[in-house]
Amino acid sequence: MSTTATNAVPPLLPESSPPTTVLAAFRRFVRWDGFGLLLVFILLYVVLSVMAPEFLTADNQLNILQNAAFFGIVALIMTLVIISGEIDISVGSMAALASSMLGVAVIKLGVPMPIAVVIVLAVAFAIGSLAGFVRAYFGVPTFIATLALYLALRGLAQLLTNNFPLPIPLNQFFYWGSGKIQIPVGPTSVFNIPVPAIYFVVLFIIVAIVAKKTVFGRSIYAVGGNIKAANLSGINVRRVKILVMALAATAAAITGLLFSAQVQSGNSTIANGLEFDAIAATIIGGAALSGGKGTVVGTVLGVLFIAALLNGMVLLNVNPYAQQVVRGAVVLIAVLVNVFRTRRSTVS
Amino acid sequence: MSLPEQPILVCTALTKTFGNIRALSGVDFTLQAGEVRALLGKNGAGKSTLVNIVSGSVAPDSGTIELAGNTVAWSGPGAARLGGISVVHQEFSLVPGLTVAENITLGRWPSVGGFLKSNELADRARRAIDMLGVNLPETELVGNLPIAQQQLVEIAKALIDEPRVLILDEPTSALNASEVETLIALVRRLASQNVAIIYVSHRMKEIPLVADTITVMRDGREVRTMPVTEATAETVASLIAGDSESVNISELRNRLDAPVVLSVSQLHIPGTVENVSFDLHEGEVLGIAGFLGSGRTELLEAIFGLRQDARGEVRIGGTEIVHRTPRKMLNLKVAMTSEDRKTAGIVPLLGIGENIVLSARSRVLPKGWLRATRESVLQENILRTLSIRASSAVQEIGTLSGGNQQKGVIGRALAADMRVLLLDEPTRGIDVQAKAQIYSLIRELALGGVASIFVSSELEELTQVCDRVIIIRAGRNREELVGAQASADKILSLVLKEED
Repeated sequence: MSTTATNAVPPLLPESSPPTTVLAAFRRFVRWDGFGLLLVFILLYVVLSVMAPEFLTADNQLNILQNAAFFGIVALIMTLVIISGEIDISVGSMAALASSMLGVAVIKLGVPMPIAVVIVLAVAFAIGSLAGFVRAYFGVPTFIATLALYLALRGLAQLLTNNFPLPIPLNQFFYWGSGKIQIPVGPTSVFNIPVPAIYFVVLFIIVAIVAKKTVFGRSIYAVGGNIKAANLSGINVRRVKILVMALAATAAAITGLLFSAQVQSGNSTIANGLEFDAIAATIIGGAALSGGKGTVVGTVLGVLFIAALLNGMVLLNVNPYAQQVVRGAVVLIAVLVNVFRTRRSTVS
Repeated sequence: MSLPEQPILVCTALTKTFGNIRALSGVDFTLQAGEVRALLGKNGAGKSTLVNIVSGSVAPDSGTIELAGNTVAWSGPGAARLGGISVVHQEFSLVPGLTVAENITLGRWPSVGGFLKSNELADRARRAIDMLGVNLPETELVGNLPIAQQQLVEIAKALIDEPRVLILDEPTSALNASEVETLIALVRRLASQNVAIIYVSHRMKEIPLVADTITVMRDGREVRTMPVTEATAETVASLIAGDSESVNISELRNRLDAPVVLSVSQLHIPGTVENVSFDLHEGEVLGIAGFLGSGRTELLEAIFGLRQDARGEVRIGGTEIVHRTPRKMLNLKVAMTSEDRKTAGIVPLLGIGENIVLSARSRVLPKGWLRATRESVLQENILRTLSIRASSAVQEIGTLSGGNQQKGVIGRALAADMRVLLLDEPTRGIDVQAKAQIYSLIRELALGGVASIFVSSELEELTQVCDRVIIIRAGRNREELVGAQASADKILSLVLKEED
């Protein structure tokens, strides 16, 4: 007390102590933005398992995880893009280009697979940087920049392959992209964990740490939440935007490589609509398109929600065209829920 | 209070002109460490320019700044911050999605290899919070805090670089009485830690409590600097207002006998306007005076149907209008021009002519088809009537001067044959000559029976344009000055008056 004699002014505002009790922690949990989504998610699981008995089997759940991983990898980075106030609608085309490039490099040019993968990812990183660059330095909205790439990259993929699949008959490649790891559970049954699901989980942990614990991650929130304040306080706003876009394209390329492995070819027709599922999962997960708001955990919930919904509709034999309608409706509802929630919190 | 001999900040002969407006002419300004200086003056007196120059956002045309004996020339606000001068602006620069601690240390996050050092970050933030002597929930997201606490975060953020001079620009404008007390205690506490503080405020009541000395500015000059103990409310008010400008009020007449076109009673907007009532007569120009944040803009917005949370009655020609929307009000011949001309007034990439006919199209073009000749006749008429200087009706309005843009905005109301104009700061940011033209335009319209509500922070112009001025203070309309009663002095002293 003696050392802080000049600071001995009584507290001027009531202290708001952090929740310590279980009850308070529970309240905090209920107040959490993703709580509503979690409830809806559980509801979906209950409904689907009642209507389709095979839904809740281990094999089917792992199947959901496999499908979730493909667009989930992109959705994780898309979350960072959207928090930074930008968007990337070219990820599907980027994935197709990555797949086509791999096919051409390995089959036509005889490049060893590991080197080809590195080249593909580097090219994707460069293309994403380009979109970020025109955004940061010329003010071209990323919606427009990536709309251009959406067309151009798909076209480039088709040019490279003549729109025919280039078969890549490598078993090991198939395993890394689409194989299963068998984990025995009990004497007779095994879990077949899909390899892509492992990538997804690992990337989830990495992105979650980046978003919460790194200067880059927090800068993304600052740039998306108040770009002027971020700029004035010396954050390199341009670098953040460029890097975020570069990472999104790279994630798209990874998904493209996984698709290649699954279909065992370099293929320019894959990943149609990838951008939709990735953006939809992010929005359902609570990220705001205006930037500054969103969580990686929310996005993972959104990814699993969409994957479970799609899987459930297939099991229930829902007309594929009707499935599209449902997907569209879900996104619209998610956005509306977000809007109402924001409105309520700004009024109170 | 014992002042050290060497002043911490010495500004000499600072001068700055913007275009043909002299914002600052030869201002000297000296500040001691640990001194709290209140900076007073009307809008446009030069306070902001002085603050901006000292804090590095604006470079002076001439003059010098010395900080602790060294001459400095800031390359920008960042340089000034590092050099020891921080500003807390009236608008917050916080990131709602980051925590309190992250906001306070924004852009100065300690890290190793890109990873935040959370403990050190929290320590730094806590040090700034401790300087303030308040409690803030460091891990809470700023977006979840009430405004008063956000203000404290903003101040803590300014303290992170351990400034020797701290500038607070209208720090209490968003705070209630008890929060103001907290803030004043906190400013005194910072001063006791030898920080020099420039305190810009319109609220006269808090000045004697917070400041050691005051500086009054007027027309870009420093008028007087004195200890706060010698400053009475009356002398300060007259120093701020200056010599009464010779205002031509002879032509203003009292139109209270004309029929009422717009009647507002017991208007209430949560958080800003408590209870405001008035009548607006045909052909009358009614001024509304009150400081920033007194609810002037919100009042106009409420009448125009832009605020769904407003309660109370609005009558047009005797009929109560409920569920007001801008579209409905426009149909009733009521138009509003926003104080934010650039974002809410004009469509910058359309021609001046097209901007003018924007709301008139349904009248000129009843069947929805564009009728080029009819439209262009109307456009040309209005361009001529308002003497708008444009190369042609198709010149993009965004490329015109502010004054001509504003005429275009008023012209839009004219083209649509409006009877009531709600004008929010119609002369903001335009030059003197254009201002005069806007005044006479509004007067001419009044002669034709158009009634206007004229909101302005510039008291002189209220006296020049308005038949009647009402003063809004603490959310209520308090006094009313008719015709010649409405001198700038009188308005100012009423605006500054404190409610008890």
